[in-house]
Amino acid sequence: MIEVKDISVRKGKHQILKKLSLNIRPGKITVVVGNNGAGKTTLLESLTGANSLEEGEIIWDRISLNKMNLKNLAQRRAVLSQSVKVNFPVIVSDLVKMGTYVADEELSEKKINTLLDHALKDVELYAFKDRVFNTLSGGEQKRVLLAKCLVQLNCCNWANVNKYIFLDEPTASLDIQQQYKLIEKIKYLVKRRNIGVFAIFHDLNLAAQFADEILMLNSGKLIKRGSPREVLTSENLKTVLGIHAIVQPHPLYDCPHITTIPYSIKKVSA
Amino acid sequence: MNIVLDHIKERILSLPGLVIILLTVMITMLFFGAYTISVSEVFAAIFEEKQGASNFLILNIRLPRILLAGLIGAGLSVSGAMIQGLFRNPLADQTLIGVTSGAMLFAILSIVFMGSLLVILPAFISQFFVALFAFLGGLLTTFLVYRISRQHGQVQVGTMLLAGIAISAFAAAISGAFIYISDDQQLRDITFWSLGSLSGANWTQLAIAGPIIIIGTLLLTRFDKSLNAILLGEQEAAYLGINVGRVKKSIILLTSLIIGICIGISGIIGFIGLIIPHFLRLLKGTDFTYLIKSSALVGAIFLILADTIARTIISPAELPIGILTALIGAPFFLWILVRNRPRKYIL
Repeated sequence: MIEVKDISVRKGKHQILKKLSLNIRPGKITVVVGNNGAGKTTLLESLTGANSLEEGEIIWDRISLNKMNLKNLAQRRAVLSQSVKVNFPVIVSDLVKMGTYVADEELSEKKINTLLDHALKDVELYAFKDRVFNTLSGGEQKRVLLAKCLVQLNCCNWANVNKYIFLDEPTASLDIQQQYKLIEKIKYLVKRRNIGVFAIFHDLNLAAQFADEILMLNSGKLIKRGSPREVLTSENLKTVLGIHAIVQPHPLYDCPHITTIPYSIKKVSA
Repeated sequence: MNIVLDHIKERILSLPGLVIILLTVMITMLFFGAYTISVSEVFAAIFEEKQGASNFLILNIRLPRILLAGLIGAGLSVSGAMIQGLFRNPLADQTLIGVTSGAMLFAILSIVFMGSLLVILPAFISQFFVALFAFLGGLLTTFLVYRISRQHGQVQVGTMLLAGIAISAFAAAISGAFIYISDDQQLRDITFWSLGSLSGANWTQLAIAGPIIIIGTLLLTRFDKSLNAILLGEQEAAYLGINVGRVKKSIILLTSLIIGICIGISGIIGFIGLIIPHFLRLLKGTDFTYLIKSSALVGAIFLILADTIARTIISPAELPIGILTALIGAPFFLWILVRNRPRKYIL
């Protein structure tokens, strides 16, 4: 479990996160929602060790984050960034193989290729193996990067160490079909491998279906925390995110379904 | 037919293939020069202890020159690949971002201010001294350009190139001032440096450049994976467990050392650092595990060939090699700039 205790983060003059406490559990999906500038990405960066904390502590399976070296941390968690810009012709298979850099010892060619093939098949991009990364569409690039994360998490198998994946708006540039595929994929991995997920989402309905726990952030503070049903209420959406919405039970799943209403017809919603 | 061609291409571009080509080129180029030497004389010079004009020519002029061309070509080409990786930009190279000018300025400073001292000192030490200054100049400018062009963890390409122009202009102004006040001998030395030449090649220079360039390159090959990861961004590399800060410092230091020694010994030979890695990336993609070693080999092959042209094309006179590489390199650079057609596959 990742325990976050009262962390504050400052970037230059700006206080981005204020006294945040939360837990991320293995095998569970924690989704953070909030408006632009709420501090979602900074929170993700802080959890993955990219930001220094002004105060507070992050404890990663009983080890303090600042006592862990970069490599050790990289063996425990992978990060799917929002976008990655590459100026060079990098071949997809070379990029995905970079996930194996976190291994302690040099892996055999055979092992690397097995990991590569599995990961590319997992994201349904096996046919793109020899393509150049920057010639792919945004969604395809995202899936290649996810494959790299899978290789990273799979290349050192420690039975007793928890693994985590951090997703910064994973569905942002995907088409609707791929959004659901990606989410199904991640859900499957989480349950099968007991991986802990921390994800940032803008689409509240995806968040509602995906999450075990939702964190609602506003101006660097954690405002609400709980199951989708507890957090995604029309009251919370209005006060924290400033949107008007009708929240109903989802027709198929056990989660809320959110219909947002444009400001011009908000009277109807009342 | 295509499969056969692909197969041949793979073989030629494999590291053993490149080593064989390099050795072949080195031996073949021994025969070319202002003075014609027969095959038997070359073999006699290498394998028999014999005195004679052709013997002396081969062992003390052509052989060291070919070896030096190989070393400098390898050094400049590897440095270019490194700088491109560090700046995450295929347009970066030591000349364009001003590192060459910085190194050149410091080399000129050492010639002008310590001219009299350099004359007294043995050749070995004085050449080492100039190279050391060139290294310091290179280190300073690499660091400066890197700090100036980096914002929020990203290298701003425009800023990088403009900083390179500004630093080059500044270095040129100071160099110009020193050229103005320098005496005839210094002027000749400085001109020699600014055009680039391998004509002074001797075993002393090889003894200085050899270990530094070879060991430097071997040390740089250890950063192959780190550079691959840095291609995705510094943050991404850190997510993969790479200590980006330490990697960058080591690369800046080693690269400046190699550039410094190359410039200190052979002056400004431009564009190799741009052309060779770019060419290899077009053919084989950007995997630094391959790119560093292959850049060294192809850089060596390229400069040995270019230098052979430089010393034979207007024989018995010589064309400064820097002029030749710029003649090839500048149009190539323009071609890269113009080539905006997106590529689906590598060649």
